[in-house]
Amino acid sequence: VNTQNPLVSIIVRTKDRPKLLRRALQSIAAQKYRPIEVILVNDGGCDLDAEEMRTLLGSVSLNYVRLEKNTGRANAGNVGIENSRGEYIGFLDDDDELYPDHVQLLVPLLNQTDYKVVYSDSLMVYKAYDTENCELYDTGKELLFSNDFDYNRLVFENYIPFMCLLFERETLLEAGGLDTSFGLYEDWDLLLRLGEKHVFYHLRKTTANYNQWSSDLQISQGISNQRLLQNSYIRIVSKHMEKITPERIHDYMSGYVHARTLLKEKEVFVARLQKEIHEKDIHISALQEEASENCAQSDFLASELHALQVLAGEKEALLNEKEALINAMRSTRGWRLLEKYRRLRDRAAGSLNPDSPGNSLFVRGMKVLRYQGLRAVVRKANKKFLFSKTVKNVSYSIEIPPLSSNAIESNIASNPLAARVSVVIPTKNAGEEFEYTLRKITQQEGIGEIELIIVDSGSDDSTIAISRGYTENIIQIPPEDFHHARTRNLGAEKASGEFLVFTVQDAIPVGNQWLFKLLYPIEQGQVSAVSARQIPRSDADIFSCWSYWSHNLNYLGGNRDCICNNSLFSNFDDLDMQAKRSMARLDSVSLGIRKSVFDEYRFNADYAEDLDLGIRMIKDGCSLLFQSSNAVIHSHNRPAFYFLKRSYADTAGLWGMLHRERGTIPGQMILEASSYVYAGLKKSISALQANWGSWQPSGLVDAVIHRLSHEGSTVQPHGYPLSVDQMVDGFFKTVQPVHHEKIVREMREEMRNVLGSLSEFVGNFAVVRDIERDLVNSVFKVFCLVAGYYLAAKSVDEIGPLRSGI
Amino acid sequence: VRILIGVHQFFPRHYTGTERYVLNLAKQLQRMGHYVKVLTYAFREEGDFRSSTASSLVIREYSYEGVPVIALRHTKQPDDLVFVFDFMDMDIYKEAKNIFEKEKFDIYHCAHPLRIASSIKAARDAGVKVVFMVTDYFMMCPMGIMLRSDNSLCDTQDNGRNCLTYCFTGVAKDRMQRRNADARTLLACCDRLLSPSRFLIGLFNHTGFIPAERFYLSRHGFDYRTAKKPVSGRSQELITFGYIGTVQYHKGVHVMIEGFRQVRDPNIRLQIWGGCFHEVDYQKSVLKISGGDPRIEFKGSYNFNDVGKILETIDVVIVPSIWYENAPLTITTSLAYGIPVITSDIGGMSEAVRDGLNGMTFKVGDSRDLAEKITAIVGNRDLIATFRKNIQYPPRIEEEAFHTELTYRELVPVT
Repeated sequence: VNTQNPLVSIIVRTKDRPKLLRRALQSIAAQKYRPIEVILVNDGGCDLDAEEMRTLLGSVSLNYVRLEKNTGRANAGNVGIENSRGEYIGFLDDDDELYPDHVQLLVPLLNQTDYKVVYSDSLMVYKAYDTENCELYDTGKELLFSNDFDYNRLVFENYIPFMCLLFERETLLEAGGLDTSFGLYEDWDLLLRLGEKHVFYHLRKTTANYNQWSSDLQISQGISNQRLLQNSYIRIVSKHMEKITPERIHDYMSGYVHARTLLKEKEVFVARLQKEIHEKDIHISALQEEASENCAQSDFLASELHALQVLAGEKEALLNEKEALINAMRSTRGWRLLEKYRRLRDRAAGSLNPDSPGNSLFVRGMKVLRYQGLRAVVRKANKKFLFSKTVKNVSYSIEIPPLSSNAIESNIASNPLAARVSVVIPTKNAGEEFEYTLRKITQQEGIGEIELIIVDSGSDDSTIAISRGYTENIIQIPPEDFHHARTRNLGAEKASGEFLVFTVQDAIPVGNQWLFKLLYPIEQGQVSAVSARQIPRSDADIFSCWSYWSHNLNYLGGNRDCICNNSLFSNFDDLDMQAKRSMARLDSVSLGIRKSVFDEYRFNADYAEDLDLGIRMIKDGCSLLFQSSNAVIHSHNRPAFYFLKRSYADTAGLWGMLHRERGTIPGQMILEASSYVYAGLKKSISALQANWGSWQPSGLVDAVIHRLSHEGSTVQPHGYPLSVDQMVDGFFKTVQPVHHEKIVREMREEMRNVLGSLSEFVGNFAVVRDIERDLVNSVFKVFCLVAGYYLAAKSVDEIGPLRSGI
Repeated sequence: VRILIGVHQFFPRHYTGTERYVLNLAKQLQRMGHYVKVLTYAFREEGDFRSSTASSLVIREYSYEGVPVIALRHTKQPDDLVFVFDFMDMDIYKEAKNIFEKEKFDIYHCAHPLRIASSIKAARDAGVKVVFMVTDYFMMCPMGIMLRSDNSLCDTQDNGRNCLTYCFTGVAKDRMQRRNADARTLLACCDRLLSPSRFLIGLFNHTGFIPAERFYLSRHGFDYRTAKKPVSGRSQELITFGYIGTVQYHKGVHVMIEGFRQVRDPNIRLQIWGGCFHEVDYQKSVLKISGGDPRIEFKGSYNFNDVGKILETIDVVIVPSIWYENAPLTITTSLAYGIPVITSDIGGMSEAVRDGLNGMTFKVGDSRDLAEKITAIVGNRDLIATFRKNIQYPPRIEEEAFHTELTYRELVPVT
């Protein structure tokens, strides 16, 4: 015990509540502060076991005073004060509790300052009695007042709980203790008298529990006691009437008015929240409805799927039966004779170019039948005629780790490529930036000699002049002679290098090691040809970024370095389109190959000369490498109409190259359906436009997708205000929109698929406002892609206006 | 890949080189299909801040040119308001950790640690890979530029002793030591350290702060959208030298003027572009040194977007800084436009300009040596054409972003 600490007396008044009293005393015994004495005043209540109390209090000394009859709270308090010896005095009623640091926190405030009265905060704890278990339990808690000392307020309101206070004994005695004429509020009266002379210090910390008993336990809650409270209040006010000055009334009232205003605001706020909740509820029920509809639909689809599976099983059984029959047939003598004839005929057919039209579907079907059986024919035919969208991970290639930048640097330093490299660039009006590109190419590191070969088809700008600053090898051809394959072959013929690199006039190498990275794996004998990735220019629009990202990075798996050759799969022709394109991916925007190898193959397709070269090389057992870790900067911002034509031409060209059949639907019908879908799209965009500014970009695309699903089936006339691409608008203006249900449904489904990918991509951007025009353009361009694809893939005839000018 | 880029301040209020680096990188990475967000610090309460649930900070989320940004701000001013000494801040740490955990970033790319340094530790603790682009000397130099208050070059802090002797005389020793300890802790949290110049790598290595082998070189990209056309066709008689930058002591403008005046040729000009910032006395002294030489023109402050126009009239750019410039934008810009540079033979300056190849270097602070270089050019005009031919264009922002992406790929493999 620190002898420096002054003694603190805590006066506990009790009457007939021994059980509660124990809790109160325990909370005093638990005080961290010493020395403390308790003056326990039994105000005419039942007998108490003083020894038990002493044991309970431990090192806290007990002064027990028993009054013969009940004399009231004020007198009991005064008896306590008279019997106390402590320098400081506090009060604790038998039903309340102090926290262990209560005294410890308040004493220094009296001890080390001039304050005579200090107080802390208390927590109001609502208590109820569980009659079954005979236990008390808490029903709630709240901080009861935490207000700094304000005498103006104290005049009207008893806001300082008595057990929170600690007084100097001298000050209490000077004030003459408690006024015994009060049965209730004797504490308030005391504070009103003290507060007039002294400012109280307020410690903003909760150090006590003020227990509030449920109505059946608390006398002061009863109706008769309400009257008592009211009378007591009136008596206090009467006694201290002179302190209630007009200024104080005004002061108190303005606080009240302020509180009322705050309450009003709160009410308005609550009302708004309730309204919001109500709206949300409505929204939720709408969503629930939608969800149940979707469930019903999925149930329906599931049953349909089941029916199809049953059907497929039946077909399979039938096939087995037929196959058995064929096998029986094959074993007959007549079949064997026929077989001989067929072999002869096949040999004749086989001498034709396998990719020429002479190699008919029938001949190829026969080959499959001979080598792989009837089931394979059926499987392949199915694949050929039903356009199945396979989006699976390409597993026909070997991923290789890219060379680290340090490894490349040390290779360049220690083992540069001594050979001459010929870079072939077809040009036409390449613009001023071409100077930059040529310098960047000629400054590539680690290459023995770089020979530039420019094949220009009729530039009328500075292209030729710029080129002359870098090379003598400029071949000029008339514009009409330009051909993706032949023009590049022409350049290659002039090349004298051991290695050939093909690129384009607006592709800028990334870094100074692009050439070395491209050719090093070839020089090392790892692969026969290498292509590198493209990355968008910094001013590329969203659509061009997205289309490269979705097609080359996601669809073809271009975000890793992969080697591919035909030992990884049995038969190239068996692969699906995605796998074929991914396997045979060479890109004439950035393509490296040994000249001797190129001379064997050369470019020879009218369309996609690079893919065609890749396919031929792969079929011959060459290894191709695609580098995601090496790149050129290359992208174009193009108008929507370009994509309508491009998609049409691409699909038509690809169909030819991969031997797919043309569609069977009249072109006019597809045009009408496209026009219908276009009108619907314009309508959707106009409807959404008003308030999409702060949306997330993917939210806008998703909204378009949603509308595509729910757009009404009535014909929408043209002429909505938002027209993004004049050319597209002009093109479809001439076509009557007609709701050909099946085509429209399919086109919309296709658009939903593609837009889903766009939505994923634009999720990287913050808000629509920042990229509005670019984003809406992208949506229209997606439509153009889909429409172009449909017009080429499904139409029985060619669509004239889309054929020319790409 | 999901990337958070941290920077001490950001657009629209702040727009110096580092902010531009972050914006260019973020936009290019978005275009390459990545999710990028910027984490920054706001000094002013502008816009809609909301209070945080994770810390006592306030937060504002906004977007700039399509890039989502999250700005943090203290409600109570921290002791070290400019954050020169205190790297660690519990509130920033808690908030950043919450962001990393909630938004599931794969990469934290710190572009400058000022004010937000604790986010590096938070990233590490949240299991996020950390890439730190060390753009200046701030991690070892509270001044940031390794130039002492007396304008002498500093090549090591000598365990803090030089800082307390030359620059921060009033600062307690243990505070400096804590700064160094915190800096080392933060650097240990980084999975990749990038530097825009070899010089910076060398200096950190020399001071013992970061061994050279921890660094990867990643040169800053230039935005060529503003530099459409290499300039050509100038006056045959006059040779115009140019200075583009602020007129401040550590930029060495006085050295340049002294050097220029030693060359008596009447057919040369010197254009000085740039305001004096707040060094008015220095500007006065510079005017005095120029002594009314009619060949010297003071052009005053300029707009960064007009640099292309300014460069059209200049044959050779002079960058005479007397501190260790790291990756000076003026040199990068001049080279991007194909204009040769004469510059001091220290720091990142002599790294970008090779003496006699694509320009010339002179002994730092030595006006006589500079005069000799100018004389050489005046005596042989063809040098300018030779230098121009040998200029390697600085990398583009697309290239920088691509190489940064490769760094990310090494840390976060494709799934």
